[in-house]
Amino acid sequence: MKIVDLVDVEHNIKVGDVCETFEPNITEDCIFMFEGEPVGFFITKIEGKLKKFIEIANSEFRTDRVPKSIMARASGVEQYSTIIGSVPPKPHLRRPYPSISSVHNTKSARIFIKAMLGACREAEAMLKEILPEQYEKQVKLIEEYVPEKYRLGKCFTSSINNYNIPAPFHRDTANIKGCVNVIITKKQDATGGNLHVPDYGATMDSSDNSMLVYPAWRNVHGVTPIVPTKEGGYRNSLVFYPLASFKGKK
Amino acid sequence: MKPQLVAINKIQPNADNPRLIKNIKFKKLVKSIEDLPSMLQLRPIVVDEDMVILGGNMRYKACIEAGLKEIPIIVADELNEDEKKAFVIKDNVSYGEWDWDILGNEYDFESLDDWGMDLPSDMFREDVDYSILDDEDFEDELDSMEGDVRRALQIPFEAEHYEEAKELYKFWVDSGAYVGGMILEYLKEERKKAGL
Repeated sequence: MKIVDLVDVEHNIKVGDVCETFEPNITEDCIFMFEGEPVGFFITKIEGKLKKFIEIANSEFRTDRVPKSIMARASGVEQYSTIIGSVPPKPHLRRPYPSISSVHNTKSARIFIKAMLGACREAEAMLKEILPEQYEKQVKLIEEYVPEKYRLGKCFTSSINNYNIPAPFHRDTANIKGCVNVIITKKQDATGGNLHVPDYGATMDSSDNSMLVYPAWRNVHGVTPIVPTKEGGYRNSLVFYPLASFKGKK
Repeated sequence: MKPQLVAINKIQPNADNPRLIKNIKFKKLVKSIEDLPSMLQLRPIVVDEDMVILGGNMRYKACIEAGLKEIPIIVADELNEDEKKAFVIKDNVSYGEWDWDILGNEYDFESLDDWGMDLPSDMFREDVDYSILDDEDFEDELDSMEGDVRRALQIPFEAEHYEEAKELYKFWVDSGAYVGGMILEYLKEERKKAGL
């Protein structure tokens, strides 16, 4: 696979800034290296079992069978998300304890959850194959930080489907440092929704069925505006991530 | 009125035409003209006596993009200024609706898409194959996660009891107890005692 060296570039972007449109410049399968260490990879087209699980999850997610958090419509575009796996304690919401997402209690969402669990397994297998050292490191970090019942697969705690949700610049500071996220994109009749990392001037081409593995805790990143080109056009990102806040929790 | 063929550079776009076309639709229009140029003869661009376009502004732009040097026009030199303004709008208003049953049965959707029709995305969605779920066993994992979902009830306390309740709650949580279960057992027992 092609190697892309991530090199620091100057920029003025800070957390909270709106992510404007950036044209993708990461458009081929590649491994990202930073200071001589592999830190992630990008696959333009997932295949096999992972693709099948993702297609099922994406299809189920867009039905009424899966509960969703509906966001305000931006420019008339529907936006919603669903979390599965573990949710951290949120004392400010008067929930000082961690839990498993209540979606797991919804019978009609069972197929969606199955497909997400299958996708998680397959994504982990790809991580193990392409970046074996990162995989081993992440499994150890998860074992150290996350009690068994809050683990999603061997490398994560949680997963979210984000439907038509761009993101201002942010850093995933709640993630376990040293771990990577997996971000798989489903996109139909829409442009944008690409991940931009200003520290390296890198914009990944989040095309349909692409997969990005990236340490989201490390740098500020944002998602470019999503523009449906037809009625019903959308971009759904299926993200698997490891949260740190379960350490020592029962 | 018969169309006449004129050099494309003799025609002027109408700066007052309020219609816009987005990039993707414009590309489709260009392709549509390239695929069936004879349609321009049957549906020419309509211009006024100064060769300003009254009907077909977008097609004119697409013809330039398609590299046409000459295009068929009809000169509508009998319209006054108000009629010209009305023509620009009326030429673009669509009154009809599509019968999706006929479209679905008599046409293929990819051609309709190529011809510039605005079709809902779902029409091109391939059927998703769910059979892979039969080959994998997730039941234990699903059941275990379902069993670990926790939900909260808010229980109000009088102000005088609040600090004590908080301290007791913390004591039992720190001891590893399932406080929700303790409260549930107590409430069930009390209901039984009350014969309710």
